[in-house]
Amino acid sequence: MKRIPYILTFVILIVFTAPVLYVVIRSFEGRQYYELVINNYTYFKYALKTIGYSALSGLLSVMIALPVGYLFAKVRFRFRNIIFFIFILVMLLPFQATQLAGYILFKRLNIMDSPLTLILTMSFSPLSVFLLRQNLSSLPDDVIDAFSLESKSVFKFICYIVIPYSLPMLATLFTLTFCATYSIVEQAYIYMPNDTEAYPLSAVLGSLPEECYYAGCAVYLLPVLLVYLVLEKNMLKGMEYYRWS
Amino acid sequence: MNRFKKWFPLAVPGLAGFLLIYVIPFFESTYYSFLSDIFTKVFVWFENYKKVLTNRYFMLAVRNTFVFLVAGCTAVLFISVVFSYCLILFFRNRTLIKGVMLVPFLIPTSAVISAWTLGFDPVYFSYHIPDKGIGVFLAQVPILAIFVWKNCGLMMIIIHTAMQRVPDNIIEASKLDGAGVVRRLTKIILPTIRSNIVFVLVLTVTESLKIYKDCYLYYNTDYPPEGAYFLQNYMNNHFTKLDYELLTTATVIFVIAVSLVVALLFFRRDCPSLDRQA
Repeated sequence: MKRIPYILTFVILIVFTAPVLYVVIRSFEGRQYYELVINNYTYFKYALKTIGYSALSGLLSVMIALPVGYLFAKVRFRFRNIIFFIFILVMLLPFQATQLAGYILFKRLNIMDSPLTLILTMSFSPLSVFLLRQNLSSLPDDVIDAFSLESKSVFKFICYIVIPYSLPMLATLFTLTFCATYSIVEQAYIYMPNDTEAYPLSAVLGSLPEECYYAGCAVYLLPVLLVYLVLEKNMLKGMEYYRWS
Repeated sequence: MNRFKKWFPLAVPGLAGFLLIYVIPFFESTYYSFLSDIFTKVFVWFENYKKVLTNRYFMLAVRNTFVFLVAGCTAVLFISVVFSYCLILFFRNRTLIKGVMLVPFLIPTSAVISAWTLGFDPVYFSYHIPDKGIGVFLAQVPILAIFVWKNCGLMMIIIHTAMQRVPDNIIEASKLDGAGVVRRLTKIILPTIRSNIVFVLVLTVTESLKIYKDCYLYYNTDYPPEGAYFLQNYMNNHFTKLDYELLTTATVIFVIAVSLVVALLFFRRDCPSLDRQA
């Protein structure tokens, strides 16, 4: 009976990391890292680009979601429920259901084949708005009232009250969007059909030559794990806001 | 501070973006579903809807998506509730390596797909499974495994955190009244954390509808075996074939179905946004 916690811990560790461990172990076969660095250095060009896309959409999505989330959390206005309903609907739709809509818009803006298409689609994340709304609706009204006595500026309010209050959630949303953008595949195929140079890494990972495939995969995992390691505490802190009502 | 006039200007970029990227083009593309094709543009009323709803592959895709949705969500929900309850029972006063559970959700599937093709041979699942009866759904098994592996961790952490917040005195009181381990879960804990469970359900459905990427990476083709041919494959293939009228028709049907489900969850007493008090 006493050993059960240890066994459980061990099982969890193995089950959740087995595929990662497999890839990392396989990557030490032969001279894969050498091959990757010497003969496939374009890999790193793709990797840097992908990190750039992901960081940019992560930051943008947080900046976009913050005021919208507050709007849904605290401000009362007409049609609030119906607009929020549309956000949840969009959250549930897979990319295949919205791809034509995006295609029409990007064609009109004349930014097809540009990485801007990926960053724009990933920055407007309804899940971020939803989570931020859940987080901010627990901001005590007394605090808001007390602040309104001091100052009328919305910007000061955001800087001194909203951001400090929801910092863990903002870090979480950054991580979520970063990771989502980091792993996009089909968006690149649809919105950038002619510019394979600008593809994110995940879309071209399959075409890595076999002699450095596992090393490529292992290096590809590093940035995500790094971002997660840095922001892990914040992600685990905000878990109670993952609720429906 | 909570005046609409003050916040609206800040929220304009966000709201306008959602409107421009998702909502307006969607209604615009709805118009295509009433045209014969995008080149001649003859208005044909509901011809496309008739065509899509009687199409064998569309119905196949609907069936597969539905089976996957039900199987995947049940599996994830069941595993994460049972497992987090075990953790609560055994780890009452211990710290736990929760962090590692989030890893599968965050890392890109494309990097670890080789591990999955090692565990489940794609050649076997593409060519050597029965093509009739209940056996066709075997093709979904590897996708289901990836899906459960990816999502269980996050859902477990959400449910575990919620379970930790159930007040101790309620649990103690129910223990004194003679409630067993199972009864405490079903009668006390689950009703208390209902709101989190509903959110987990919504998130799992969301993720299960985004399974196209994993399916594509695993089978490495746009035409997976019949059992794993999802609605997303149907939509994607019609997009690449420029059959926009069929794609939009399928999308409209899909959006209507999803919005009915969301409406059921949303317009309830304990929904996230209905204004309850003045």
